[in-house]
Amino acid sequence: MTPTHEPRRTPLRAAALVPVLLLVAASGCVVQDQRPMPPVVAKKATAEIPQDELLDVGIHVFDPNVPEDEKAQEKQRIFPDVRKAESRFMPVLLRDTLEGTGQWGQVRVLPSESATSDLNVEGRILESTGSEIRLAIKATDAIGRVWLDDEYEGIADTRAYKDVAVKPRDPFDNVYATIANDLLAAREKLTREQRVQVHQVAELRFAADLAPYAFKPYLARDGRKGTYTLTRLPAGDDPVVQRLERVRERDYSLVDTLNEHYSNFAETMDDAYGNWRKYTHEELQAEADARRKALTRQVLGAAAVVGGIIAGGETTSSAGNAASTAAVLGGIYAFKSGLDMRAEIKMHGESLKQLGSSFQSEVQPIVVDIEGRTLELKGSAEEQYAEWRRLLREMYENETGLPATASTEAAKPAPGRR
Amino acid sequence: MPGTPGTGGADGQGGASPQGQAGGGDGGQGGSAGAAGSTPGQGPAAGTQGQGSGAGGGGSGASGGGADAGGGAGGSASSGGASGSSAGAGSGPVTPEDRRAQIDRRFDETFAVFDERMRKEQERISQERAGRSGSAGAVGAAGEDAEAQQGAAGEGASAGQGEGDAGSGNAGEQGTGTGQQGGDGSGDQSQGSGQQGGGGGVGGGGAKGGGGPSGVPSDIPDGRDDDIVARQLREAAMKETDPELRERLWDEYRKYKQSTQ
Repeated sequence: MTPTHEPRRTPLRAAALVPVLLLVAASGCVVQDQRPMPPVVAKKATAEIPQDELLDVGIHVFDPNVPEDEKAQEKQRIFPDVRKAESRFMPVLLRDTLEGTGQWGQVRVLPSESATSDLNVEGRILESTGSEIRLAIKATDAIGRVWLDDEYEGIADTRAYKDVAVKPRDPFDNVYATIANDLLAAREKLTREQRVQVHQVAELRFAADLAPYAFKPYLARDGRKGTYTLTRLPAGDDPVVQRLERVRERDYSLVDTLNEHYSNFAETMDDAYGNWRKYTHEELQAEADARRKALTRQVLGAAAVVGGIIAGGETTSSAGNAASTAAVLGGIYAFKSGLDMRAEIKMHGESLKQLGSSFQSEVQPIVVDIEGRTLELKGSAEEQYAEWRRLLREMYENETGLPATASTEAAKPAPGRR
Repeated sequence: MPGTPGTGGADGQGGASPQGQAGGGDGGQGGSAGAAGSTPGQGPAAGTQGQGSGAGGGGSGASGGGADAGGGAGGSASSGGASGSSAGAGSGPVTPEDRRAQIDRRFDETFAVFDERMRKEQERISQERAGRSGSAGAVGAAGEDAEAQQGAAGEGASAGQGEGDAGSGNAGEQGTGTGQQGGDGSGDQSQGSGQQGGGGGVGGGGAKGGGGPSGVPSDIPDGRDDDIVARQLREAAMKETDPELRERLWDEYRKYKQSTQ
């Protein structure tokens, strides 16, 4: 007979365990804090890099990737001006990371459609919250060689959100350090000659953009691959080259000034953005926890009800009946409390919306300001570049006695430049 | 490249003006083309006429490279005539070296304009940064300023008498701006600034002469009740040497003061 009793005990035990499980489940749903991330360190230069191998890096303002449809924006919790601000802020962080390694020449943040540097880094924000970011990054050198084209993601290092006297790392420093290390790895695959050539081609592309009739012969473009090859170098004492170098100095001055604007912009928004990310992170965590709790309670509640009913049908003892009734009641309660948590989830959602709107109105004026200033600066510079183009043409004609009529297709001008 | 100097001379007479030479120079293209066609020893008289027509030459130069090309290619009668006018300046044929020098001058001018634009932009950025970081260290800075300004006030008085030894360190730097005040004998004003706290250091600038920015516009209050932001704006305006930028800074100051009242 014993065997017939044994199976009965099992559901009874299970039914009795359900409320206990519920309690465990309920008490186990505490707010999860992300553990401190192991830091990724951007590799620093350990030896001096020869000047002609030092490559300048232009990090273009990222694509904010804002959907046009407002409903999609709302669904994805994207606030356009916040994204626009981030599209300028993140390149500054990447720039600082690269600069800190000592592996590169000048590292600058540039407008999205801007001059060509030795190495150009473009980015697209796929996701950005206080809890995680996902970026699509593409780096291409002046020759047209793609160094990397990949997605980078990371979750926030919550130490950055602690209130400490010393300014902590950015919560997503690991992402920027990883990009920096990947760029370095790509650079190290190049031979010394290739690195030197990248710089030479960048200079010649600049020259060919301003004076194509003079510099076309020095570059060959493979239209299919989109790459450039150096055919020969111009003479250093060529008067046109010498004037062009002076123009180049002004070009550097312009990008330095633009770069300063972006630095200033990032500094201006830094505190407010830090707070926004911190509170957003907290709300997102709370919302995720509430969702998890709600789901757990509903699932376990339903299981307890089912278990209680089964156990009640199989037991004949009063203790068994009492246990099954308790399981059913506990299950109903747990299920209901799970449903009630929807209100809490909604509340967190509203908080996130509020935080976004509030930060958006705070950051909007400075986004407008930086946009206006860069446009103004580029606009006035364009007039000067037009004049320099004309003077270079005159200089060329004066020196060679030839008309400056070469096709401008020699070197595809950097988009938007001058 | 024989031109038609006679025709050029006629043109030249028509445009006689003391500004002619400058005009010919500016409109470099016209001038150079003309020179190519006109050298044949018109002598001083032709030169005078040529100078006169330089204004006209400048005008034709401005009309584009046509004159330039014409001159370079030996010149058609008409272009030779047009350019003959400025040729009268007696400069002889324009050599590639002359032309290069002309282009370089133009490069230099445009570079100077561009550099100045960038300099101002960077100055603006620095001021904004200083304004931002200044508000962070407001409390400590206020004390330092007060000290500096006390010193500067005294020095400002001497600057008012034209003495050049004002300003050392911070006070001197701030004072740079008020050279004109000093020169105008506005030592008192400097002293006043010193007392008010914000605008102090002003007087010290007398030492550096009149190159500094002008003083405080008459509608600007004495700044005694300036807070840190207003004080930053005031100081930036006082230090600014560019009149246009300075006026904008004062406007900002006015707006800010209105908003805080």
